[in-house]
Amino acid sequence: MDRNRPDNNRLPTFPQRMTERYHALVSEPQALSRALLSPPRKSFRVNRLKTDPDSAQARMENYGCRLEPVPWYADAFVIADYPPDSPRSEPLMLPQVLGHIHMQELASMLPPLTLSNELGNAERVLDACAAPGSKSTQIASLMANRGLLVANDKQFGRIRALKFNLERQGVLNAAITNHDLRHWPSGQHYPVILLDAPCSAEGTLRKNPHLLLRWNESLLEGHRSLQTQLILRAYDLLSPGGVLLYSTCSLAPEENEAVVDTLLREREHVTIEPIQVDGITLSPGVTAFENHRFDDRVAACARAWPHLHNIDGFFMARIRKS
Amino acid sequence: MMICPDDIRSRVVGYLMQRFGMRESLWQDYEFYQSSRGRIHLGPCELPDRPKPDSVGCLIARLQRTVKPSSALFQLFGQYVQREILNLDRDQTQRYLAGESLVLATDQIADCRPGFVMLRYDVLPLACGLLREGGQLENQLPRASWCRVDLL
Ligand SMILES: C[S@@+](CC[C@H](N)C(=O)[O-])C[C@H]1O[C@@H](n2cnc3c(N)ncnc32)[C@H](O)[C@@H]1O
Repeated sequence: MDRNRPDNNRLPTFPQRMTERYHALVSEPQALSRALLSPPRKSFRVNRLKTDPDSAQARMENYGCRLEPVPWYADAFVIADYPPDSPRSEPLMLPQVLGHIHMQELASMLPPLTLSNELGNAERVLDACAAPGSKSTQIASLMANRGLLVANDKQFGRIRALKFNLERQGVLNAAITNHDLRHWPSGQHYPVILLDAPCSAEGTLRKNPHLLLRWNESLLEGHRSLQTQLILRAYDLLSPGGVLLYSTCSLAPEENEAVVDTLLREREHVTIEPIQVDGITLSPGVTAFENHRFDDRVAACARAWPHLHNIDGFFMARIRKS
Repeated sequence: MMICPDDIRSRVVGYLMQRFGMRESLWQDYEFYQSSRGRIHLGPCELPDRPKPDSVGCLIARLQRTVKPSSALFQLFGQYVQREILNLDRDQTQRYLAGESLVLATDQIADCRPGFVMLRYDVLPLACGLLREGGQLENQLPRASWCRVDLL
């Protein structure tokens, strides 16, 4: 059993305030709550630095895994079933150990995917909050191990996992740094930046239902304040014409639209570009939430909802410095 | 981490060419870096000015009395290795990845000379191993990566 999931009899219930918030955000709040408490699907991404989707798929099916393709990403698969005779409920597979595949939630694959065009020929990319490296390894794969990927994280304790994942996936083009983005030295600019910001992780409740026990609206303010400092610094490090992708696995407008709204107010030449991923229709950013109103331009942001997209809750803003 | 001095780079590149037939052009898009403990990394040609990186690219070898190639090197560039390839069967692969050293039969090691070899299972490059005279295959995997693989 997943040690993060309490058994069914003890599934936590949603705090009243959280339920009220969902009523203000979606037309089917019950469906959202239900989706957030159901177990997530297992999924993986193929690492093109070491193999290709056909070979990885063939090998996994040969083991007896039942795979489902993902309509919006040829490199991703859902593991609908492991072989029935597996010695463990989640068996360890050779392609995992060799870094041919990386177990990764589908929503977490979206930010690098939406940057595919830029990453294909980028000379320098900054992954500002990179540990444990799911998106960094995907970025390196999309860069085909060319150019420079700076994979940074402030928490020293998480750098080890970042190193481990980058090495396992055969990433050659990365330099790992251990720095607080807020104090990142000026000078060098980056044409592509991913800011996968620290957040309340509300969108990952399917995997971490225990987060419900800690959920508290007042925590959102602390997150928002840090996220705002991070987005402003990241934007300042962006080359003119460059693109910054801001993402969180939170559903809360305070951590998402409100942060982008502040960037729009505090910096010049900001354009929020629409996000399009063929095969999945993401929901637009919200321009109002309870008694907050945001700049209309945040509607170009995108959100994945667990009950609509059957992936973790996720938010993305594609920001261009024009 | 600093850029490898030319003599060290040549020593590593020469060894990989001589023993494994890995041609020099494989490395042309990357830079060689060296850490204080003789660890050789293959990484990007450009690095950020500041902040200084903690680590760069992938560990491809350790400099000891000889050059010791890493498992990461073979896992990534294994298709370009031309000799000193040792094929393991399923059971041997499982045991090797779990950290065991193995004793192999003479016919299984017929194509390899003693020294570092690339281990392979099916068509997949697995790891680096150290083959001794007489068929002893010494496990070279770091303890932290030992694992019990269920599906292979
Ligand atoms: C959502 S996680 C990143 C997940 C990662 N992008 C991935 O896909 O595996 C957010 C990360 O931000 C890091 N972080 C928090 N504050 C930071 C700061 N001020 N500067 C840089 N990194 C920070 C945290 O340590 C954490 O690892």
